[in-house]
Amino acid sequence: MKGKFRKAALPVIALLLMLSTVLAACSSNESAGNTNSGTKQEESQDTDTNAAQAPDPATLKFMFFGDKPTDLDKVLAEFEKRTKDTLNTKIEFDFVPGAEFRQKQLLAMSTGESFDLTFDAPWATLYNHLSLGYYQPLDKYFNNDEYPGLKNAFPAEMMESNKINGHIYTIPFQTSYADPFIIGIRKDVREQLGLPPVKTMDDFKNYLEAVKTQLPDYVPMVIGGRGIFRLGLPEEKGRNDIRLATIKPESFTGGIPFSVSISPDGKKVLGAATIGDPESAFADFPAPFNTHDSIYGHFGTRVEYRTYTNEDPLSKQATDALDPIKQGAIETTISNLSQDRLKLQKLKPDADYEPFFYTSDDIRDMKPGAIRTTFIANNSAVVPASSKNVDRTMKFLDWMFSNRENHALIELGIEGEHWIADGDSGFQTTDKSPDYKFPGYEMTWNPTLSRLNTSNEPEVIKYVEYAQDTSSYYQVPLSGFVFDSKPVATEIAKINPKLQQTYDILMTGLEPNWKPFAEKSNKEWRDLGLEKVREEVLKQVQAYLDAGGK
Amino acid sequence: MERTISYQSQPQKIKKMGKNSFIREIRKNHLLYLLTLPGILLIFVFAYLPIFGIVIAFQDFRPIEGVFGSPFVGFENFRFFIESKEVYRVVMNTVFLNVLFILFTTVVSVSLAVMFSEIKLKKFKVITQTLATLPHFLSWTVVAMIVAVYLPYQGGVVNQILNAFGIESVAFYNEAAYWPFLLVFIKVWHAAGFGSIVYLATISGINPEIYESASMDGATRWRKIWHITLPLLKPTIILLLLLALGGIFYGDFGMIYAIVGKNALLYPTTDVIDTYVYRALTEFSNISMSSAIGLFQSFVGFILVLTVNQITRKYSPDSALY
Amino acid sequence: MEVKESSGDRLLLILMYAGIAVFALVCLIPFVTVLSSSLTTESSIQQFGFQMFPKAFSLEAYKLLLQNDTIYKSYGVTIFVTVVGTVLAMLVTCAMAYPLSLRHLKYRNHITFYVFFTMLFHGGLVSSYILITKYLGMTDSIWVLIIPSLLNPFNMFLMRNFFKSIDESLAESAKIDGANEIYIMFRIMIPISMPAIAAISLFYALAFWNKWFEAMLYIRNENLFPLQYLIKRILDSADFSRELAQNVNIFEYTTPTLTTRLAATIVTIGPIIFLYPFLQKYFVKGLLIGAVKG
Repeated sequence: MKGKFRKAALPVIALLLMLSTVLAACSSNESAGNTNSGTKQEESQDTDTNAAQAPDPATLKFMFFGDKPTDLDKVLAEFEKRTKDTLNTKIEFDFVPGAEFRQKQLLAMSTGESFDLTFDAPWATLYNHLSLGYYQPLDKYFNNDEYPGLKNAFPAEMMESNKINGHIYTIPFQTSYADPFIIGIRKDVREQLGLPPVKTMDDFKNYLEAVKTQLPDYVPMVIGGRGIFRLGLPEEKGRNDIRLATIKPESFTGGIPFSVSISPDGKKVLGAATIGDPESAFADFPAPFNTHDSIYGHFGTRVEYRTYTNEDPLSKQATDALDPIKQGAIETTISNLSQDRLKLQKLKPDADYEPFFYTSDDIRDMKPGAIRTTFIANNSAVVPASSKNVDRTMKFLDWMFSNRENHALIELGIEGEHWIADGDSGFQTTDKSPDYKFPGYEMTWNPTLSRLNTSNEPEVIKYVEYAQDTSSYYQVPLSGFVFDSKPVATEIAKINPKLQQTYDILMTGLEPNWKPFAEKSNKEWRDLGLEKVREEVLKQVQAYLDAGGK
Repeated sequence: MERTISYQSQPQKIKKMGKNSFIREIRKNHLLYLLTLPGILLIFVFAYLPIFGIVIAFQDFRPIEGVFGSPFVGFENFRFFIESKEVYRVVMNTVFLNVLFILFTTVVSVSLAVMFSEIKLKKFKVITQTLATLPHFLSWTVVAMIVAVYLPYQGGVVNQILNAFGIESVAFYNEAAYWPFLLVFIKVWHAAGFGSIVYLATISGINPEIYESASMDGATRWRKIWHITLPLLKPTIILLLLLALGGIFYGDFGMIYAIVGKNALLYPTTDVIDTYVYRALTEFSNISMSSAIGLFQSFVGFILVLTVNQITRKYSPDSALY
Repeated sequence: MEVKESSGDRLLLILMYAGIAVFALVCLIPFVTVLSSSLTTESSIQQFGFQMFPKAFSLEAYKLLLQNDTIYKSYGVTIFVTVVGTVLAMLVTCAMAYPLSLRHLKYRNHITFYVFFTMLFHGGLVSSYILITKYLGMTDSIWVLIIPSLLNPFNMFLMRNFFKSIDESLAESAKIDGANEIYIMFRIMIPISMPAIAAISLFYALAFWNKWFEAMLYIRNENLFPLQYLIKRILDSADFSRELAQNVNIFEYTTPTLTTRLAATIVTIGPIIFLYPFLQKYFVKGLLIGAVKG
């Protein structure tokens, strides 16, 4: 029997060996060919950037996710017309459906396909890809008088906070650093129940309780897998001795939410602790954060609210199947509220949402220094290492960011057709606007250049303006720290599935005995290598502090 | 039996005659070998040429350096999976669910095929056969949406029926214990009708004279099914089982991820290798670690098929894969 | 010549009818739910969920879907790929399956193993991608949807088993008459294997019809998108936007409505469903009596 297997397998193996040698030869040829063509390209593009004379024509390839704007070709034609004598650049946009984006981007980069600009962000794969060397450093293009547009649109302090390991890799896009989270209370339901507007957490609870008891076929508060997202999260406002990671998205240490304390002089890291750690891990933390529950107690609050939420929040299909009319409250953000309202009123014209600022009264009252941030842009573009057209790409961006006119052409489309100006910094939509919806978060958003949509309600505009103002924010310690997960990749891959499992249950408040549950899970993570990750976190934070980081 | 013996004596002959016999065999059956050539070439180009990619599983794959430049790290990429305490549960879930899937779909498919071949009403036959294949055409995303019509706690059809009988609602999406049963049901519903086509085609190929002479001998319908149809279906059943065995360590990611999604409460029974690995690596897009798992799954499946194939050859040589 | 049925036989037959009817019904109901939900308004589906009978009839979703020119082009691409692909694949598959079904072919087990090995071991996406884009230059070619899939080992093994079940004496006698192997395959083996040919063709046709992965990787030209890929883009973007919303607040990301997604499902499976009743005439017991005797 064995003999037969061997007999059949041997030729296959021999073939494989043969193949691999052939292929190896092929590939070395190929790479030689590549460098050749590469230098040729560079020569042709390394032209004088003399403004009087048009440079050689170049074609740039950009890969972004989302739907291609219907009128993109029209806008690009206009762009080419305007810049024929200055940039002489053609741009090919490859808009990849979001669900495929990661895979296609990764494949293109792993096989050395040449493209010039793509999307990546801290919440996506930025740090991971960076540690694999996928992206080019862009330091020389910023704060450089040869690129006045970039210099102007991206002030030095903004680029400083977006540096990774001391270098600029990203072109950051944002109009604001945050979009305040709110709860949309059903105004009509509240009035029907004869309750006053919801202003405090107690009001909120009363409202939910009233919906629960008086409208039995309503779900008082509809949640998804992340629960009431920012419910009861403590903040480290005004402190420089602790950085909190209360929930997974706040993690700055490879997806495991370690809160890190540092000495008041900012020179030494004192400790790192996460969900379910024993009290001793928090002993070195500065008061009032020196207990587990002072940081992670919000999971208990989630259990309290569990009685008001839908039965099976972890199934997205079941959540979707709920009747939108019979929901007492939903979670949303300031800028999403009007869309949610529109959707609701399509089903029930007299229904309405009103915002409840559950995260902080200061944000509701638009006080300065109220919103927590790292000042790292949520979205950004990067130049892949395989790109041979960095200069031309940056020249294009420089052109686009040089004034409102250029910028609006790309971000909003053709003036008078896709949008009309409203004052210096606002715009109104037209009925053609839907034909040109450029995903600004992938290439254009900018706090100084982006125009504000004045078609929105005044209330929303007020908050958007508030969120665009840098003085509305406070910065957390260790803002510039970037964790390199490479040394503990195996441990993180082991802990992650287990952590995610526990985390989803904790976030939705599904486990009434949340604390023993968290402690038990924590022990399991320890078996999977949590301590090694913790050591690495402490080591890297210390190295960051030693290098003068804050 | 005789055939097996003559086959087994061949290796010695090959060794003795060496190259000559190879050339003689090719010359003798050159047309037959020529027929296999297009297939052999296609497989060579599209399956064997890229197979060097397997080395990625043993590398710290750095896309910039490529397959040929990345450093080798031995079995490092397997560690995150092997060392994890979850492995046992996840592997058990995968195998358990797959065994149930294979078992129940095969039984239902074969039964359907037998029934379809026995019934006579033509219109009824055409319509029901077509209906039975319908679920196969619905993508798992759509199936997941349909499931959500039946199972939710609030407003789910099943719970409405239960309530009508005075039974309290069941939170299906929060209770792992129900899911092996539910998944098997969904799988059979989705696959069995379409799966019956192969068996139906096999039955159609059976020489009708066999049935006629059995009828002459006064065999009942049941006896004909039991003694003629099923034995003649055996090679096909065994072949399909063998092929399914190779994939037994591959969880049905498309199905389970669409229906269960990220529902942590259901992991105890529904988490399979593929969904687990997806969760472990999704934040890191680590090509090396995911290929390591793929290789592990293939390798175990391969060993299983080889073993079972040898056993099959002993007892039912006609059904063996090779 | 009918042999009189016993009452036991009759009862068994009735049970069979009943069993089939129940199974068919279980298959039908969800399908009708999808169909009628695609024929209703978005607000009705949001409010009342999926319905067996549309509460508010509307063709809005289909209008939305079919106003796009791309969908007609992609229908053309899919039909071309399905027809050409299935014919070529059947040729390649039968040409390989027939010799491998012959017991006297000495190296048949080597070849079988060579094929089987690829069912389990593959080099992964990266190396295939490099091969197809860099060395074969098949990016944006319709043939990338066809050529790599011309031989499905699974189908080949099934076909081989069918050929195996045919009496070898048939081929033997033709051989004595001086026919060569290729003639025997096309003129004798294939005609008497029609049920198998029909079944395997159906499998291939479906596989080609459903092709989207290759399109996703290798096709950028919108005019070459096959139907399933186009539809998948529509279906997926809804899921994606939800995942996106977990991470970041991007309020302009539009998602297709639920009805559009259901209509898309119906549009893609419509035509291929008609293939089955057409092939069904080959799945009848006793079909081959003429062929074998003739």
